[in-house]
Amino acid sequence: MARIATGALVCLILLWLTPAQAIDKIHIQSDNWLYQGFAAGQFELGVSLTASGLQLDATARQLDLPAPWGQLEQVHLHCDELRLAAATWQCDKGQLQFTHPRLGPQQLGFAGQANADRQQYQLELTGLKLAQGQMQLKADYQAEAWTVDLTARDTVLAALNQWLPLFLSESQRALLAEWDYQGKVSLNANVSGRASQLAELTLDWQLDALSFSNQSATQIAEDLSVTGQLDARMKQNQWQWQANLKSDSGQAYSEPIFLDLMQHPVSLSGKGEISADFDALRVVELQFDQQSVLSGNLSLNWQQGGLTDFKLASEAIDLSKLYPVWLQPFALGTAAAKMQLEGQAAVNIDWQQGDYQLQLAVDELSLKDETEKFSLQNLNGKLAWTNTDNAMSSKLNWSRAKLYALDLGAAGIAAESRNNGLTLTEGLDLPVLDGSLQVNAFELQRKADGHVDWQFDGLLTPISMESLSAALEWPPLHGKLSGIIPRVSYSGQQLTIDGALQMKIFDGTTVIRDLRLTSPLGRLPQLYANIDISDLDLGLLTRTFDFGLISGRLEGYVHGLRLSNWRPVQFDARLQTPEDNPGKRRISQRAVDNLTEIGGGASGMLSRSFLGFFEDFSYQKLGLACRLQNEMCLMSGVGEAEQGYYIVKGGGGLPPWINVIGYTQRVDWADLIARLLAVRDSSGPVIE
Amino acid sequence: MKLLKWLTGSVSGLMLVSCVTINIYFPAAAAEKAADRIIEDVWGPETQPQSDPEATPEPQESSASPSASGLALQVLDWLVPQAAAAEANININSPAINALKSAMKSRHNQLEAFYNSGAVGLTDDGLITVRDAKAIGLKDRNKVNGLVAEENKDRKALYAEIARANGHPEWENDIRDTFAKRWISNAAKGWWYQQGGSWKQK
Repeated sequence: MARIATGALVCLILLWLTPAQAIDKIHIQSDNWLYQGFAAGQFELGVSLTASGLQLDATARQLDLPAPWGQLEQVHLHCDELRLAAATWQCDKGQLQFTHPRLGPQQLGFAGQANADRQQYQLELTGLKLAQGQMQLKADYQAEAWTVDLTARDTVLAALNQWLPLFLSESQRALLAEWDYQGKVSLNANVSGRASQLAELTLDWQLDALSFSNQSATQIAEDLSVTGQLDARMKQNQWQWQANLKSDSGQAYSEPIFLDLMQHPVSLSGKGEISADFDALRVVELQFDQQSVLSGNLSLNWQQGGLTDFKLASEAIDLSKLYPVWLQPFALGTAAAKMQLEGQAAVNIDWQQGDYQLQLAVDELSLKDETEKFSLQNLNGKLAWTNTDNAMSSKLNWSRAKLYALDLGAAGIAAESRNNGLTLTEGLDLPVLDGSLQVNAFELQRKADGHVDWQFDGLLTPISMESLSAALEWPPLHGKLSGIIPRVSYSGQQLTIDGALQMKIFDGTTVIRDLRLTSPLGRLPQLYANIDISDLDLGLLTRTFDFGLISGRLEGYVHGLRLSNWRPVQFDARLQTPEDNPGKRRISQRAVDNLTEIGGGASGMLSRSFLGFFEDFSYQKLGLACRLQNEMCLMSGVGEAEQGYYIVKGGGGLPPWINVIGYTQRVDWADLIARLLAVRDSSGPVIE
Repeated sequence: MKLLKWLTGSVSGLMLVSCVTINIYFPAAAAEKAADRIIEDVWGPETQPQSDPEATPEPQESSASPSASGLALQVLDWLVPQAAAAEANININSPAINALKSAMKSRHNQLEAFYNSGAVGLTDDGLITVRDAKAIGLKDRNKVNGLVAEENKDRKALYAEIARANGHPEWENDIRDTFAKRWISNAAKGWWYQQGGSWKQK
């Protein structure tokens, strides 16, 4: 705007200073008059004497101004009262009309004075129409020092397009052409300088009904109001500036962040320096505030199109407000996409040429996954992360956590970060239900592709089966779960547990090994394991599940187990009495009934026959196997029978003996579960 | 004796080859049917499955060529009747698949309007994406981004789970390709889909 102003000023002063000496009336006419870079065609000047001074009338069919101002047409300048006093020409009220290819027809009021000896000129223009808005301009020139005041009201942004070539390079214009924008701007500008040098700039502006969008609509704003101020002063070839910006209405979206400025007004204020060629920018202190969401300050250096360093420090932020605006949009599709957060955190980032140090101070942070996969309560302390060699330490503790159904108790970590990794400097003793997981040599590494790998050595001190079965909503079990875990590692969304977990239940041992868990917090966690079962006491087992008493021992395996979303979908399982160590093997009537049902038969037959008089029977062996695949269980027992398989083979002690034979080899898994859970129809065992 | 040994050795060797050959066929037709059933469940019956012969992939063989051993194939034909080999089925009935399906179905109620408006389109790799962000109000942008991310997560989980449930985790990409074609084939009029990198409207 400053260039428009100075150009117009010089032009008008020149028009007005046209030498005229009159006694009564003077008329000068020229077809082509050239003066200091101005060219006027069909120029006419009339000066008449009036009672109070002079009246001036100048017209030109066209007036060529120096580039880039172009040509004015139909120029008419009129001053009713031109006075000369102490070598100063003065016009208090004049009119100027012209037509400009970009400005269109203009009808302005003007006032001004000029003293050529002292090189002192003043000019005031009112009523300049620019882009459907009104402008006023006041210019002051004295011995090369000049000041321009410009006021514009409701200037339509889109209409300023035609003026852009004056200010922007071709590449800048090409960039701008990729944006749609509309809105109105009002501004007050005060520019001062000396000769062709700008020295000071003060700008107040207000943008209203501002909407913009890039082509892909990833950066977009609707109906924004923005007010701002800028003060800049040239010092040693650098602009020292101070600016602030406020917006409290409208909406904006910068992928993936959505800002509702009405709900959370934003303000920025800062100061800094920028080189005269705009190649180096320094922001000394920029205060930012998004009301009740985020506030803090930022300093940065920018040189030749690239950021060289920045420092950011936030105040303590309310995470329940921050998460939906600034964190959740980045977490879509991940395990952190649906969380409820509480508590406060303050962040500090120091970034220099790609090296950074990040510190997060958390205060009473509690988080909860809405899909109930995990939660954490009362997290306090400091978390630090760096990609440099300089180690940064972290210390965090929490009061409670939960992973799926497992309650994890209060614990804390001390850690050190360097080179995009984190190492626990002290062992962690993490309470799990009523036992604990000892975590040693924990190391976490963020890889170049952004994925995170971690591993540790572990030891599981016994967890009671009572608490585990209650947590997993199993029937109450008695015993202990413990494990020596030489290594737990997580890589490529897969958690691998080396070593084995051991369950001491039903007086026997169940060993779980080859444990693997893929996408543990994902949409469909997959758990793989091999389980070996030995020497279970059938008596304890059948009593626990209220199945009907069976005495004897039980062994077996569940190999190739896969749980999809924690439900078994694939395995090869066999449970049977051991070949050796027969011991005392008796089976009750009720157990026979129930096993019959599992084998696909109907219950109750036994009690209706004469065998109903016997409470239990001696058996030789029993067992059941299921190979589950594709929701179908391929069943077998402890031996082949005619058209079927033995589930219970009678024998051993005194008769009567009883055989339970299963005839259905392919059983729908859901049916089998239903049979196991609720025993209904029955055809009775085959009695020999 | 030697002859017998040679015979048994060769036949078992051939049988081994045969077994490998039969296992590597991806049951494309069955997979398409399975995909159509799931799509109908998720999108509702109004988007009727349409037969699209061009979209039907030929049975693919991923490694050994059948001509590698003509004799092996003959033995295979003899050992395993052709019909048995072609009857390979794709089972899509498991609690995990049903859970994914019902989650996708309820999400579809929210997504449908965005398919209709062209804001969201079907990609040629069996997923969905925001196609025309301008068609979505600013306030709804992240809601839609979230729906798309969740839908894609479910779809990926679904393809992997169908492959695993049918005992062939390595079929995941084939399942995904089949679904990609069937989603597009079943799409309602006016919906947008990707083909060869550009967008087309049904």
